[in-house]
Formats: sequence, structure tokens, C-alpha cells
Amino acid sequence: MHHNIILRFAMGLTALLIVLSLGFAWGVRGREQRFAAREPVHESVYTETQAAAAYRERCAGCHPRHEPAAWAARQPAPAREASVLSLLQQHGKASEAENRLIARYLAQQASGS
Amino acid sequence: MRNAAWPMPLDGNDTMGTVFAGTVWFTVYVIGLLLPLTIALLCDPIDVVRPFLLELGVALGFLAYPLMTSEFMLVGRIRSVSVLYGNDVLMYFHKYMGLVVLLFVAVHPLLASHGDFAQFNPFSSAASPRHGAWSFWLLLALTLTSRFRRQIGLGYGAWMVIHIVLAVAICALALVHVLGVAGYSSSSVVRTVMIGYFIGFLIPMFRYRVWSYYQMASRRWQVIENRDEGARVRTLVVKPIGHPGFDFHPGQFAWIATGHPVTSEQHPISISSSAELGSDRRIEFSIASLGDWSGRRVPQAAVGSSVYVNGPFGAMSTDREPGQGFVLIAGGIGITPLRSMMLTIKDRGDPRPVVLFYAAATLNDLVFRQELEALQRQIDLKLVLVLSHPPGDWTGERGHIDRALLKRYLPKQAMRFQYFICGPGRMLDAMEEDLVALGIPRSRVHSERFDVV
Repeated sequence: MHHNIILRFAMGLTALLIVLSLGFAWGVRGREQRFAAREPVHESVYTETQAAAAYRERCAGCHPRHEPAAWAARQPAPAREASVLSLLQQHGKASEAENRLIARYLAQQASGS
Repeated sequence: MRNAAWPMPLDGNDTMGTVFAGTVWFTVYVIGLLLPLTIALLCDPIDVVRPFLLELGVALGFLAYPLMTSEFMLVGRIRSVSVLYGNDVLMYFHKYMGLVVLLFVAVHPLLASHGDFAQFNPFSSAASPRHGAWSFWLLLALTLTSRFRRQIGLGYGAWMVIHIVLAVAICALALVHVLGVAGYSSSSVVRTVMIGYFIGFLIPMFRYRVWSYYQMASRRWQVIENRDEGARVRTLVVKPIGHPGFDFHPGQFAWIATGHPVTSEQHPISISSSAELGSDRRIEFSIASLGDWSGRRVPQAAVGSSVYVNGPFGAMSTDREPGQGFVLIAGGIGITPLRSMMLTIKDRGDPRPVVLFYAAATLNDLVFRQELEALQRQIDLKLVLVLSHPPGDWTGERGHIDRALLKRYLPKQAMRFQYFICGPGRMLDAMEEDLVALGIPRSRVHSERFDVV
């Protein structure tokens, strides 16, 4: 009885924490407008150095370069960059312009160029 | 003789204060759990909309970290918390919330990485997931060694060392993981808070593992008697040397080491003597022979030798629960804290009635039997002895303490009594259930368990 009460209590607290996590995930969805005015990185200024820097800043903390490059290499070549871009857009740590830079960078790495 | 700064019997206002303090402590705990997530939400350095599941995974990570760093607070022998909830309540809560940490830590990378199990690879070449993966696997090892300690033959002392080393490693790796992910932790405020939680984890660890051991080692107690009580139970009578010892409430326990506290195992043992201390401030611990320490070291503790005592702890006490009388239910060595309660009632001249149900296997297993029979003439005590294997001429109760037996002996004003149970875990479960079935309010039934791990 004693420990059953504690177990129920712990389960109640866990449920509360999960609900608050859901609330958090819902709450941060409103940041799109907040960063709309952020200075974009233009695709036209693509350089490998800049793209590699964007990769290091946004991705390398969790994914060593060979992992997504290997994944990109498995995508059909004509749509490779688009596939990588789509994945990055779903993952979403970088801005849209940075995603495009990184997608092209990884696609080029996968193609060996 | 009593130092005003030491505990006194609690009255009704104290009980309300205890409830209030308990609520405050729990509120602080919950706020502490939510603070990193709240700060992450307020600082939010991320500049794009990310998938809902990814954010949910991140949120679970931000909850798992304060949960794991606060785990030690629950079992860090913090006396002010132990007195409010009871050590067994804190231990069980620690155990259950540990499982919640494991759940959150397991789900966190899967949600944050679209179900990529490579996140659990402890040899990943990316630093941040590698630290996270190690934290997860060590947490799993910690959970399994705790859950199956007895099955894998791990001694309590060795398990404790492993548990603490793993806990520190898990929290340190989790911190490095959090700081390495360039997400919310790219905010300096978030990073500072996360580092603060790790320091907050280390402080009670230091207090428990270093400072309290130092204090314990510097406050020596001397064995002045090592008495054989029969039934493979010995009573160590100890007195403080060069310090005043401590006051306690009847029913509380202390950690005791028969060697130096840094190098010797410490065991939680109920104090079996009266809380009304004599001039030499001696206290008694009655210890059943159950293992290597209690079976070999305790009998060898010679008169004049040193022991080290850290206490008092625990919330189960007649002082804490005002009632018109007390029903005490003991199984085997569970009699020891209840003996302390009865001796204290005698020494205080407390006129309130006591009913003691005491169960054992044989007549020889009844510890303190003669003393208890003598106590019937000194306090208002009804003694109900129950033997499962009684001798032929036994005139007491036979079998086990059950609902029918309780009903037969409970006084008319039973609803206004307080109930204290001490014994094996299964007995505690059965008695708690029986008493509630007999209409005793759950809030009047008290017990404390020592077999959590």
C-alpha cells in the first residue's frame, strides 16, 4: 500500500511532465514569425567554405559529415540535393537558406565533386 | 538535559507544520524540474520551426537532466527532508523517478532524430551523441545493477560504490552532451543553468560522501556493552565520546559503522532504546544476524571499541503522530523501533494505552520477551504474542497476525489510535491492507521499510 501510493504519485508526476513536454513542443511552434526578419543567407553566395561552416555550426555537433553524406549518396542522383533539402527541412535546426547551402554541400560530397 | 535545538515530541501544530514543510519541499522539487525547460522556452535561440516530435524529444531531454541531477537529493541523508517524508518514501520515490529518467533518456534521442537508433551508438564519431549514448548505457547499467543486485550476487557495499560512480558519470556525460548540442544550449543562460544543476548535484554528493563521513569519523562512539538478546540478536550499547551525541524520536534509525566510516560499510539500524536519554547519553541498537556484517562484525564489536553513528533519520515515530493510544505491530526483529517507543512511553510516564502485536516463528525467536512482560506492569500495555510454531503448552496466539486476530484485540476507540508496523515487507503490506479493511484511516497507519534495494 505504502509503495503503491508512492508509485501512483510518481506516475502522476510523470504524466504531468509529459503533458508539459507536449506543451513545450506546441509552444515553440510560434517562432516562425519571430525569426522571419532574420538576415537570410543567399543561395547566390554559395561557396564550399561557407557551406562547410554552416554544416559545422548546425549539424556537426550530432552528425559526423560522413553519416549524412553516406545517406545522400544512397539517394537517386537527379533528386539528391532535393532529397537532402527535404530531410533538413524536416529536421529543422538551420534557416531555409542555410538548409539549401548544406543540402548542396552534402549532395556534392556524396557525388564526390 | 535536553538541548533546546534538538527534537522534542511534536504536538498538533508541529504536525501541521510538517505537512506544510513537506508541501513546500515538493513544490520546490517540481519547480526545480521545470526550470531548465522553462528557461529554454524563454531564451529559445533556435531560429526555425522544427518538427513537433523533435521538440517533444528535446523537452523530454530537458526534463530528464534535472530529474537525474535531483535524484541524489532524495537519498542524500538530508535530515530535514528525511524527517518529513521518511527514508523509505524517499527511496521508493528515488527508485521510481530513476525509471522515469531512463524512459525519458531512451525516448529523447529517438524523437529528436526521427527514430535513428544510431543515436545510441556509444562509439559514434560525433561527440555530442556519443556522450548522450554513454550516459544512456551507463544509466541502463545503473538501473539493472540496482534491480538485480541480489540475483547477480552484488554485495550492498560494492553496489553502493558502483551506484555512486555510475551516477556521477551519467550526470557528467549528460551535461557534456547538453552543452555540445548546438540547440537550446547555444544560449549562455541555458548553458549556465545546466552547469548550475550539475554543481547542485555535486554539492549533496560532497555533503553525503565527504562531509558527513568526516563528521561521522570525528564523532566517535564507544561500545559499552555488547549484549546477546537470544534469537540471534545482539544489542550494541554505545555512548558518545567527547561530544553530546544526538536526541531522537522513538522509532527513528541511524547509520552505524563498526569501522572507520570511509572504509567500512554503513548500515541503517533502528534505535531500540528510550528517547529519554540518561546522563551518559547512551543509545542502543539491537541487530539481528542477517549477513556478513550483522553476523560476524557486530558480535565481534568488543566493549571499549569505537563505532561511528550518523543520525537520527526517519519519520516513523509516536512523537510525530498524536493519538489517544498506540497499536504496535512487530514481526521478528521489527520489534526494535517499537521497543524504543514503549520504553520512551515508560520513561515519560505517558498514560496512553498501547497494544503490541508481536509475531515470531518460535518462542525463542521472541526478542525482549521478559522485558515486554515486565513492561505490562509499568505502562498501560496489552501484549499479544503470536507464534507460528508454538510449543505444546503455549497459551498465547497461534499462527500469524491477520484481520480476525487484529479485530479481536483492537480497543473500542481504535479509530483514534495511531498504528505503527515494523517487520518484513510482505507483513507490512498485509497489515496495512488489513487495518484499512478494518476501517482504520490510512493516515493513521505508519511503517518504514529498509529493503528497498
